[in-house]
Amino acid sequence: MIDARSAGRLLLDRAILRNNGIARRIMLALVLVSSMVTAVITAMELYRDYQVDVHGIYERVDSLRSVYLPALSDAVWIADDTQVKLVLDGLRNLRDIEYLWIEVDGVVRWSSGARNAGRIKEQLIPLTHRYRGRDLVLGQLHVVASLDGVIDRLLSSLVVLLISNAVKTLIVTLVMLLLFQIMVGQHLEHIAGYLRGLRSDPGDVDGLRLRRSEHGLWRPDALDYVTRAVNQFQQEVQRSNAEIRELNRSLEQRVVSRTLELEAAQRTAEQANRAKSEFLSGMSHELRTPLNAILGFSDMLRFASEPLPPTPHEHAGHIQRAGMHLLKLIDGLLDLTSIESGAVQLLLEDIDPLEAVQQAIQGLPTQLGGIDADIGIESRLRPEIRMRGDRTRVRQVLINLLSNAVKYNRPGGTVQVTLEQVDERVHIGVRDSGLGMSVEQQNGLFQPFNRLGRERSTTPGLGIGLVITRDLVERMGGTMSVESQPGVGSTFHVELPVASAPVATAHLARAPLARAPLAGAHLEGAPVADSHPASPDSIGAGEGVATGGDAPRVRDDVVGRVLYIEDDEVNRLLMASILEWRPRVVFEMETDGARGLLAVRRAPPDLVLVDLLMPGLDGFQVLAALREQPETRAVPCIAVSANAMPQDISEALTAGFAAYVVKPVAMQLLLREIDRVLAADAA
Amino acid sequence: MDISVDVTTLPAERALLNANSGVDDGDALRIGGMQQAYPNLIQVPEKILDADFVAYAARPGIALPGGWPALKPYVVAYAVGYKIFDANVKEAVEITRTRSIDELFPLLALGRADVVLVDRWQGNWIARHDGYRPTLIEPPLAQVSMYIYLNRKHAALVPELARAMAAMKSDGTYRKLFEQHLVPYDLP
Repeated sequence: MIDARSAGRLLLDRAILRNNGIARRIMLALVLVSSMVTAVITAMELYRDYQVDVHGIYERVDSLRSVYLPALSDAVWIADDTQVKLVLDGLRNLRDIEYLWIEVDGVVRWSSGARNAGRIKEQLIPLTHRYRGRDLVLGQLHVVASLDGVIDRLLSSLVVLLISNAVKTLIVTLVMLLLFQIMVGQHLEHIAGYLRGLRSDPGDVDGLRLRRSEHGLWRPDALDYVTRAVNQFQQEVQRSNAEIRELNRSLEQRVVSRTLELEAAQRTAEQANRAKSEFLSGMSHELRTPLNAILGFSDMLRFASEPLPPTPHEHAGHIQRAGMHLLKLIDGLLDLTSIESGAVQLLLEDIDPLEAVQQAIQGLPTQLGGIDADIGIESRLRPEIRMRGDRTRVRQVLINLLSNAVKYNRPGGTVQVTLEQVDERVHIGVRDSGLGMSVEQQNGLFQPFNRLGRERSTTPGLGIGLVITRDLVERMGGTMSVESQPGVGSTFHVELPVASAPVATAHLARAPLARAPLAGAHLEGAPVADSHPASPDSIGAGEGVATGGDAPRVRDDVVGRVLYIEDDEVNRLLMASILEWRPRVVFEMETDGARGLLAVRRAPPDLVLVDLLMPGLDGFQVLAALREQPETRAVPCIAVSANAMPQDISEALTAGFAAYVVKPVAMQLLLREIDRVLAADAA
Repeated sequence: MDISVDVTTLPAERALLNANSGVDDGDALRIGGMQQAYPNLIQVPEKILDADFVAYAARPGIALPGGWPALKPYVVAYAVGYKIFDANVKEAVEITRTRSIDELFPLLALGRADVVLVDRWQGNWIARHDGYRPTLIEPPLAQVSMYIYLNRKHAALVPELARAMAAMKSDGTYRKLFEQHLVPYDLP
């Protein structure tokens, strides 16, 4: 139980009314309700008192009737003024009786008191006397009772009632508040404090326990339910917090690992960007070197005094070789772009690994960077084993690896090629006895434009060969890796899938080197891109690409009319020179598409050579215009363009060009295509 | 006249009020001029008799030589309704108004009044009837002619009644009745 002091402490120290809105509302409700009830009860009591008082007036008048009336009537009968007056005065002394008078024949004969303006009740009593056997009416007694006294008394009792009820209400309210605080309020505060503690650290908090006995009348009650709910909530919070902590831990770990990945990616990107910048610088160097030869020897020829110096063919040869080197560089770049954009299509077939290696060795240039190295082959493969790949690309891969192994070897070093089967793969290892590479160098080896710090060295190259090589291997379903030891040498490993069904040897049918859309004949034998071409004419020189081979043969049997539409004058002159090798072909030229069309319509030629990219009508529009007119529809057209990307070629052939010749024009190739079309025309 | 008359005795004022209001038909033995206060009454001009308003004492020895003012040193009683006493008894040790003249002589006998006032013939009749022997103080305090009044509704009877009374007085009937009914009650 709670003693008076602690009750006071509860009410005052804990500031129930100040801090407890519920208590305030309860008190307000109690005051309002009890005030209303008080008002109603008071009104009822007052009304009852009023009725009693008014009734009292009537009772007094009645008693007046029974007690005083005979005497009064008697006095009136004998007209005893004194006696009548005495009786009236006596009556007027009764409570609330204010004024009396006796009226005889409409005239007031006797009266007592005075009428005032307040609320009154008036009664009329006839005064009679028995005379000669009948009741004789002597007059009328008027009795006027005032309600002012009644109302005054009611007001007095109203004040008393209100004060007493207010005190009663106050006491009840305070008691209710105290009970509320004892039974509910303090427990709610305890629960609130517990929840606050839960918010700061829910982990190590025990369950909520109210400060009251566990058992009691009418238990469990609402507070028990709240306690139960809070405890369930606390357990949920603990469980959730544990999960959140666990999630946070894993999230932090993930953030750390992602951050590391991002940093690595950023480093890779920065490295690639650096490598790209360095590549551009290197490419500039590589391009300028052959250009130097071309321009230099061209100048020597141009400014040579007549007659021509004794070695014009030698100068022209230098110019041609430098141009070839430039062409290889550009083809290498195209190759890389094609592979990276996924435009390269492969024809997979079964290949004899040993034969492929041998052919690659045979295809190697005789001298690589001035280094001569012995190349040995060690095969542990069963002879019937074949590997799956694109024959041309395999050759490209092997030549690249072998040429690198020779080029970066030490003088008098060796190159060892090993062949073996590892599970379902054919493993080809190319080991050199060169300088080897550090781990950092190995990591950067397969990144485009990375030349392992040789950017400023005299070893030529563009840093894209190994990238192309690895991409090709992977596209053929294989893998490529490297192991190296500085000072000892490097080994490049290539693994390609074993062909499912071993085949007989010796089928070395030459497959097309490129598929449509790379159908342009000139692409046959596209140069193998090499990171470090040792010399301009050395690597993978395909037939017909360069003009550096045998001189073209003059043919008198080829006849026809050829129209060349080209906006560039030098190119037109070059074409005219080339066609001097076909003396019986009539050669005409126009400088733009519109003129070309006019010329064709005027006199349709046997063949139109057209540049694709020209001011005004381009090559495609010229072709379309020709195809629209019946008389020109059948005129064959060969596209001559500097656009060398595979999709460009594919687009042109689809549009209806009979052939596609890439600039710089390979003379023999061009002549062959012209011969072919004119022959078909003639047929 | 051949009119039967029902005579009743009422308190003095009540008799006037009843006659005036018509409850009764008339009132007798009244001084003249009552019609001024009671407008429904008509005075019969022939007087009935001359009334002596006298004082009685319990024993001899009291004299009232100066008339009304001589009452001053005495306790006086008279019956309610006697206007002449109301008008003239101004000063006295005490004035008691009784409900009726019947109560006067007991008051006198008990010594609660020194003198009681009433008219001679009624006083004498009541004293003799009730067995009292008061002393009548001579001379009378006043002598007034007494008349009959009729309610206005009987106005037609007034001259007839007056003529009849005058005839009774002239033929001696009136005198004979006086001596036969009143004289015997005269006090010694």
